[in-house]
Amino acid sequence: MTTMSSGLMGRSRLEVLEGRWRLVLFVVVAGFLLVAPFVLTPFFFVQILIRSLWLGTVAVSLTFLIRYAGMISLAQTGIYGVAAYVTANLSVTRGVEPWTSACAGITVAVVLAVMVGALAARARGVYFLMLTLAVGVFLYYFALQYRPFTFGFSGINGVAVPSLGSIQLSDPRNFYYAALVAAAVCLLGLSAYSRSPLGLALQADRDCPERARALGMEPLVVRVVGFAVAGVVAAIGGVLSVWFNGQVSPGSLDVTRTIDVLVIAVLGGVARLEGAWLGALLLSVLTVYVSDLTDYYTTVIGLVFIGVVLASPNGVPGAAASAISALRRLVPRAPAHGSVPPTQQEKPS
Amino acid sequence: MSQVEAATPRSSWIAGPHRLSGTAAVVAVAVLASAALVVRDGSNDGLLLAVTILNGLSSAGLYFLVASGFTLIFGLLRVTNLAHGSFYLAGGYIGWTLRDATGSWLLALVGAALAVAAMGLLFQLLLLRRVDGDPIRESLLTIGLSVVVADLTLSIWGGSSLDIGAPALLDSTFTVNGLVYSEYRLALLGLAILVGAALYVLLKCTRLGMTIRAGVDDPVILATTGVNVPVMLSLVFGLGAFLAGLGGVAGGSYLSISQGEDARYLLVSLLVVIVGGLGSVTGAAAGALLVGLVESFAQVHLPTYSVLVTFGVMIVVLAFRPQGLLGASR
Repeated sequence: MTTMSSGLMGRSRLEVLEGRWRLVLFVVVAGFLLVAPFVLTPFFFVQILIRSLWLGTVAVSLTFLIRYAGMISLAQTGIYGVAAYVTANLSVTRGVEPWTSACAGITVAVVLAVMVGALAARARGVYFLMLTLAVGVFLYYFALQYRPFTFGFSGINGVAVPSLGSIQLSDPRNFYYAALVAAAVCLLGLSAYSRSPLGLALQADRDCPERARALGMEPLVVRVVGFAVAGVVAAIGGVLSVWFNGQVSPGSLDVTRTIDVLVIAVLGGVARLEGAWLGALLLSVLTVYVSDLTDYYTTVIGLVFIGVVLASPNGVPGAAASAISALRRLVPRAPAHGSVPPTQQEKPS
Repeated sequence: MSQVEAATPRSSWIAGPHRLSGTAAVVAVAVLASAALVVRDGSNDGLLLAVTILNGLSSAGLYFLVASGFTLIFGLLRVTNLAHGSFYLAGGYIGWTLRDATGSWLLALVGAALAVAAMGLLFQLLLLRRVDGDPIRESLLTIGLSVVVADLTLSIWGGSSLDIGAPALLDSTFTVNGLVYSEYRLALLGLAILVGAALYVLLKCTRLGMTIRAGVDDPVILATTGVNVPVMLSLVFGLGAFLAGLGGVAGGSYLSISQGEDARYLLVSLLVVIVGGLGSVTGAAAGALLVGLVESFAQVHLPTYSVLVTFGVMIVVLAFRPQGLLGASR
């Protein structure tokens, strides 16, 4: 009895410690993100940080689906691409006001997400993956072939970045903060959704659809709504991307980009939603710096991806965490107060 | 075991007792519409119709070659191999180099297929076995492989499309009643029929085929009878890769080999196998025929959107009848 309670106390002390570290980590990361535009080189800041922000926003929609719904969707690139295309087409060829175009883009993308979700929700596991892959490829060919709207191979160029009141978002610094706010809103929104009744139902359905149904939930509705919520986030990523790049073309939603998003989600790990942005940062850094070293940088990324899939189900953060705990076990230290040696615990009573 | 269960939870996928009649109605409408189309075409321009059908049949032959490998790997072994298109691509490129170096088409065909089989076998032994039975990690691993293969083939063979060229013996056309058609494309159909028959005999009539089917149904019991199941499954994986490599050379001899073809043939294989039903050679043949003919007619009637028709068919089939149009037995 006494050993048990002290063991529990030991664990809670550890949790307090971990909580403190987490707070420190949060403050450091948030502080860095706030001052980044002023301390980083313009290249790193624009090509890596801003890029990671919008790529991560697209990828977090996939991380969310994997983490809370158990769905590996390869249609997220298609959804973000549709948002990007509608925004670009309305604002460039029809002269619609940029914010209105963005809202229209997000709306169309979400309607599409509801349709895809309704089609795909009955399939599970690998079949879901294939169905969404087919949807993604379908949308790619649509973008390539439906020239009256998408302008074929060259896509739509010269998309202007709007201003927010008196703040010009075309200035990279302002755009960075806007993207940062959008990413944070997506992150908070998704984690709030995951704790809401619908989000909890989504997780229940992921774990055991039969029980969820027995409790009176309608699995198909829960899945479609979850897929649509992820679609909103992917669409926001699409709007950010089309403003950042100033253009959109079929290349923005081809299979390579689909795989990029998947690589980001896997590298970043699916245990936490923030992992998506970490994965995006890793991929951007790998792409930029490994391509300086070798022409085979895509191969390197592919091999890293294979390694992560094989070695760590929880991506790079998971690998780092297990490395740290392995180090902790290696470093000899005094046993914590009241802790029980493992051999003693394992003895049958 | 759990994989097999996961692949056929029919009751939870398709709700309602009216599913069969609904599918039947859709199929009936599709058949009637295409029959009307064919009759109208036939009365307008018989030659065009004949060429369209021949094109459809020879595409079906190529699709069957590639997809028969996929039906072994995905349908029988239940390995979600999303690198199957990369096997096709690698086969085509290696075949091009062999043809370029030796001039022999037959050597290119066999050599490339063997090289791809070795590649597939190696991948299965070194990496895929480590995630045995987890379809999601299998699919992620094979996606990783396809990224690597695409990048390496791009840096070795470049981004422009290559053409292996048909073998000298078949590199001309023949004429029947004013109809001019390529000898090679007909020969391709013959090759596909040959491979299909060989596969059918192997799986249905030989002891090895019996063992393979037993290993798919219950690997544990089969192992207790003294069969080395992992080795056998690896060999079947290698055979599947071999067929994809064969398809790469066969397709690269009249269509071009270029980057992006991997995704196309992966999706076509998925489509063929899913339409035809998992793990059945006859199903794959039927699926290939359907896909080849639909695509060929779509190219005539909707040239711009023919690809969309193909993938549209795939989405609809996956969404409403994931066990395949013909696959009911499994």
